[in-house]
Amino acid sequence: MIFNTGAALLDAIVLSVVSREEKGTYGYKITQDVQAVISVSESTLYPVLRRLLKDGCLETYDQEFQGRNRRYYKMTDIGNAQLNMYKQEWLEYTMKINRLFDGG
Amino acid sequence: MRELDFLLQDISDEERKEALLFYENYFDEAGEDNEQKIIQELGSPSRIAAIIKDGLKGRFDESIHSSNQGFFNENYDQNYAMSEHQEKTTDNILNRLKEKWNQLEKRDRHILLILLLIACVPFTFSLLSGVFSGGFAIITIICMALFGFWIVTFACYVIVFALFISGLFTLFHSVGGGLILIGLAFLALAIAKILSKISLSISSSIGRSFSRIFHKESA
Repeated sequence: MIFNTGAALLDAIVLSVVSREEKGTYGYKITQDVQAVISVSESTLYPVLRRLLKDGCLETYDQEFQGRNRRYYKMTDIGNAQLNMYKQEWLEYTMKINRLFDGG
Repeated sequence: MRELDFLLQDISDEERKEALLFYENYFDEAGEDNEQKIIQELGSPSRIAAIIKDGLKGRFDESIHSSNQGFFNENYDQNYAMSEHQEKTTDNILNRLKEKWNQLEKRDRHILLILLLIACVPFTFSLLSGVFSGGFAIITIICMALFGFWIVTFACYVIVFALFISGLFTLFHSVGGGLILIGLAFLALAIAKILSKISLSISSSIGRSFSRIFHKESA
């Protein structure tokens, strides 16, 4: 099971949030979007984003917004592949558990 | 932010810039209205610094847990408390000691006190010997004052006697020389008299103070 640590699940959630925006999204919005679904400390997301960047799952680009620089996070091919893998894993995992719960 | 910059000095420039940029951006996006809320939520700069550094080492993820309440990482609540503690160590050390002391069981307090006393024993010895040698010096000085004057006085009387006798003998073959010697003898006698008065008064005053001390003690 790939979701044996919370870290993998949090990766999946962050990737999923970023993937919803075609042009990418920025740190504050990612945090807000994740927090809208599940409670997470604001300080937790930086290390996660940083690692996803290093792993090549995300890439950044800077764009000016209201006179200042805004750093956008965008999915890469690796990131998309990783997200699909997570989704698949999650589906299989939850299906098994659901079957078990439903007495199947 | 400045404090965070300082706390991140031991990571690479690139990583530090990256992290600072992230949090600067974060505050910018949140707007001034939310600033206080975010500062509160993020906690102290030392907590953030710890999380960033552990994130770099890949240690942060290990202890992220998920639950119905969301994601949490209890290590950082501890780390946070620890670094908060360290920050305040310098100015709060006395208060913390007091707190610790009050938290102790009565028995433990006694044990601590005894340990403290035992730890003090070497110092006590040197202190005692210091006091002792000081007292000894004072007694020596008193004795010197007491007996020294008497000895000098006695020596003066001896000189008086010697001068007088030698003066008397000199008189037979040289009247002038003999008279000079006898005169010197009288001069020495006067000095001896003065010295004996001084030693008497010193002795009696020392004696009086001693007797006063002893009277007080017996009273």
